[in-house]
Amino acid sequence: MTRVKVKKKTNWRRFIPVYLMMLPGLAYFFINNYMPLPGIMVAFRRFNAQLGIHGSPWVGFANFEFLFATQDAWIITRNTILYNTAFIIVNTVLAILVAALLSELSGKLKNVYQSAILLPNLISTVIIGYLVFAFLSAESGFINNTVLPFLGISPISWYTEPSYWPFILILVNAWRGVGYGCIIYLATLTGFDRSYYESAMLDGAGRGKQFLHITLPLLKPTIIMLTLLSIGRIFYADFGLFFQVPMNQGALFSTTNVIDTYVFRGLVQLGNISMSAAAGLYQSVVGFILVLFANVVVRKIDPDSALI
Amino acid sequence: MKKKIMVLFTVVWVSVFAIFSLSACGNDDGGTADDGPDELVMAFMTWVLPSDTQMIQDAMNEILIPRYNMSVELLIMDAASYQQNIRLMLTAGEQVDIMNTIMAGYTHLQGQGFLLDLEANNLIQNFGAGIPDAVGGWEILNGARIAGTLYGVPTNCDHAVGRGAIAVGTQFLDAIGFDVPSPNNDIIHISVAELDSILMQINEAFPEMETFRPTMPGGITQFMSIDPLGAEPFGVLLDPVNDLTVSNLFTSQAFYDFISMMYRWNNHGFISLDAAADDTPVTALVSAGRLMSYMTGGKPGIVAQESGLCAQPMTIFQTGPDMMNANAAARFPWAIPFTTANPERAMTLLNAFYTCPELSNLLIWGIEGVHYEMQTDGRVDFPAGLDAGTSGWHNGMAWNMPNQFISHVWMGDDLDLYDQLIEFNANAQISRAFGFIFDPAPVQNEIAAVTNAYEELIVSLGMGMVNPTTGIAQLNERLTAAGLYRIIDEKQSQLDAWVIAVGMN
Amino acid sequence: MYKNDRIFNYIGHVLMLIVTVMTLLPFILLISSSFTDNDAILRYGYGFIPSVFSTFAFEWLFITNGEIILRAYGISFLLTILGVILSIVITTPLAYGMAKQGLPLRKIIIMYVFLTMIFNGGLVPTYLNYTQVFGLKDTFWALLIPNLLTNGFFVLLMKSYFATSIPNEILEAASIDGASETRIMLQVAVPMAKPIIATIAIFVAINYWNDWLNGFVYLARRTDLASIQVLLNRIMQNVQVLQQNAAAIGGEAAVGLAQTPIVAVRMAMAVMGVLPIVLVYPFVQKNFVKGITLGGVKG
Repeated sequence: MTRVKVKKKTNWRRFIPVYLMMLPGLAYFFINNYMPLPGIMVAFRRFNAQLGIHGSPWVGFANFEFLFATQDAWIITRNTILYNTAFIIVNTVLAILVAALLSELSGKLKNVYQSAILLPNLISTVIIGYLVFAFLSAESGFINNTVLPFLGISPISWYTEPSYWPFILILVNAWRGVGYGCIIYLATLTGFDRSYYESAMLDGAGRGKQFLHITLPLLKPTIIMLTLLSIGRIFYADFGLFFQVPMNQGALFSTTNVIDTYVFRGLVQLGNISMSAAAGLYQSVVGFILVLFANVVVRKIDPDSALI
Repeated sequence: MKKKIMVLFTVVWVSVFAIFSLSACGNDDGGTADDGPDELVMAFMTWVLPSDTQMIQDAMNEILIPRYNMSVELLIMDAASYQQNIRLMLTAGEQVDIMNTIMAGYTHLQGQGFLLDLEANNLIQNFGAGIPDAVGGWEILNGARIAGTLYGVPTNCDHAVGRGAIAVGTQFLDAIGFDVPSPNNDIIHISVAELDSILMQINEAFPEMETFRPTMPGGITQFMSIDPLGAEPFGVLLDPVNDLTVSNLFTSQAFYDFISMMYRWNNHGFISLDAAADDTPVTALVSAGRLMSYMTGGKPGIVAQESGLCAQPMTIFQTGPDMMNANAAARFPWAIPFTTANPERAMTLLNAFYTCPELSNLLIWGIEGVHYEMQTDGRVDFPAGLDAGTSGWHNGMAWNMPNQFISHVWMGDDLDLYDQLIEFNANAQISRAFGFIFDPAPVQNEIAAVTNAYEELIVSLGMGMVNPTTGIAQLNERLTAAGLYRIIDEKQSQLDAWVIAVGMN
Repeated sequence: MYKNDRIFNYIGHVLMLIVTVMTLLPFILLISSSFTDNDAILRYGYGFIPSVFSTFAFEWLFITNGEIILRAYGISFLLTILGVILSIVITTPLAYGMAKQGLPLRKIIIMYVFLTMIFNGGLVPTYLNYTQVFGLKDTFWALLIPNLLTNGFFVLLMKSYFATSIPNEILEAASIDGASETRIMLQVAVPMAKPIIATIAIFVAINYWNDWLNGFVYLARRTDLASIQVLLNRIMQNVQVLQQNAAAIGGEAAVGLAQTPIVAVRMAMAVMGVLPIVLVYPFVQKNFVKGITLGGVKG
């Protein structure tokens, strides 16, 4: 994995075809992501339709106040960060384990596994909400009617007891998301030379040792990059997961209310474009600061894996 | 092989450029031709998108073009997209000439500058002269004024709501020997104690069924005889007919009594443990044979409506008065947005829909012989072989269209339904604040916080799952911390200013 | 050693079978409820075996609304196939360039791409951009273009693969042999990057297949261009919006809710949303696996 750094004069001419190849993608980002970007400034204006997004009067940070002028501010921020941290850790660990296992296995069933773990990505969170309800419903749910009696536990009122929901949401998120991470790691693993493993086996390294000393180091750049990208979005919560899956139950808010659901509930009646833009900008800026910070840390430890 | 890939790559790559440049210049809507009728756009929502929109539109234009030299395009969206899309379209300046303000919110649209003043240059007086009479006079029309300016025209529908109403499956009443009058077309007025006893009896007779399901949190404003002064009950009039003091609903005796009743009913096992989490419509639960009764709002035609939805005869009990809230005429009025091509033509079109029975019938019921058939008694019904599911135009939106009172009466409703509705509105108790519309702009932060705290606690409280004394205390503590009293104070000062402005004693 | 391998294989398969069954369990519930009589669902709840068997939901979809569903499928497939091809064609050269050692302005380009993941103008400015500047409203392109790259995630993923899995020496060697940059990318780098290209193709396909927001936002007049997920989500969103606004609308919200399709139909539509992928995926995967192993051997 040593990289040869060839020092030579910058040869612009040589790179012209490379720039040309990159042009459609760069142009696309300009159109899709950068052209609408000035619209973000509406977060600092009091939107008036007749004056337009770029003509409405400035109001400074007034549109941001609703995010902090509430005793829920702490709860929604805490929930958002803790859940996303848990999601990053749980999904990464599970995805690596499953990918490592899959890459070692042989046989036709391997294809079945790969298809199966991707399937949950194909159903919308609303439907997932119904399916979870089918399991957890107080009266007709599978858990309360079949599993708990079998174990000799009395029924649990899942939709009024917030303390269970961190586990339920982490489980649902893993169910839905592990397959996604898994095939990224699997692709990375298949791209690598099997000879590393063969020589390790000749040295008498067991499966565990191979995993620790070969697989993980090989995956490290990918793991670091995916984690950095997730940190950039750590203030964004998956709205569907936190709104639809707990069936929007008020009794569960203490463990299910996150920034996105708070903003939705607070603004759905008001329909205020400026305030929702303010919420999005706040989430972006905090994520940006965090990811820059994380990137600095990574660069100190392992410069090759740093994002920038 | 490699060459082929290279050729393919180049072709696709070039076409990416082509797409962008094509789409960039394919942007010419040349809708401003000088000759021919003016083209207007009319936006509204339906529950489910109808399939015969083009047919209806063509039939309307056969009337509109010769009579007014204008044609209309029906821009119909379903409930889910309407809320978001109409705001997006208006923000982008896309032409919409008349629209209904449901979902998008009349006051919020006005607050962000989307709507035009309908009296600027005497617009309504000159081009919508038929509208005031059609909606029941200026006293109703004035109910849609925001801070003195008229931005919308209310639809002709039930402006009042019969409070404390509950629908019960008639078969269950028969089983307990309750004497249901025949024909069972009217609301039965009873006391709360009698209602209590009826529910108790059907609960004992059918223990395996779910007795009652409250609608939460919407049921609070529908059931209680209060005026929420807006959609959510943050600062209400507890005695709307007599007293203009804005109060905290949640510290009132009436609220305590209501919650206690739900708590008692829940303890008797009336309410399912799943009631809060299950989003199945109550009427579907009744027709599936799982539920016996639920909350509703009293109005003429409610018996037929609920019986139809539940696929069985329903009986409606009402324990409170018929009452009209402050914003009754401003819930979902029709408006002219600022993206209209021509306000005068837009008002002319709106006027036509309020005054022309042919247009109103097309809009509400569709085309005779295709979507409905005239019956011998003067009512209309589906042609043979069609029903609500298969008809290409049966939207169930009569109440949201400008003027259903000049359209036909559908089979199952009383022939004089519209007279009953007019009488119902006229005889209802009217909130003294009728015509006052609260502007939430100064307290938006508080509303966002209070809404979250409210949604957190209200459903379990309203479903009777929490002890009323501790539950209400907790609710008040949270709402107060979130700024409920700042909303109440703001409402009160706006209301006081309004009282002075309209010159009320 | 050999025996050890077999035991490992057994344990591995058992573990993966457990994972697979757990993953599929909710799908059995989904399929079962779509074949259950709606009243029975409301009365007895959902079950792994239909309590009262009924094909009503599928009859409603295929017989009453067959034409709409079929067209929606057509749109979904066309969109997904076109979207995947275009995305890969744009993503690959961009990622390749970003991974290129010594490319001037490389860090700035990476930053430019990375920022798209963090900041976005929001729905309203994006809508204004695509409708006013590019005139995509009520066109098929409105479904295709906003999702091509969405943001820099896939580009960065592929760039990372190019940078770590393809030894720079190989590229340098090709360069010294006199191959042009396009040639190096297409004939050296792309074959080696097959696993990640296949992976990203799958993700892009999932994105396109699942997308409904663009259909909602850009197709106000051309509802005939709705994909299968747009149809499904229309129903779901209607239910949610009606409940959210029940207080503002009043009693009429109940009428609206009663008009939205029943639970069994919603479940059946969810099945219809997954089914084609389940049927097509094994074929796609077979070819991808071939690609992946080929790439592996070369590296």
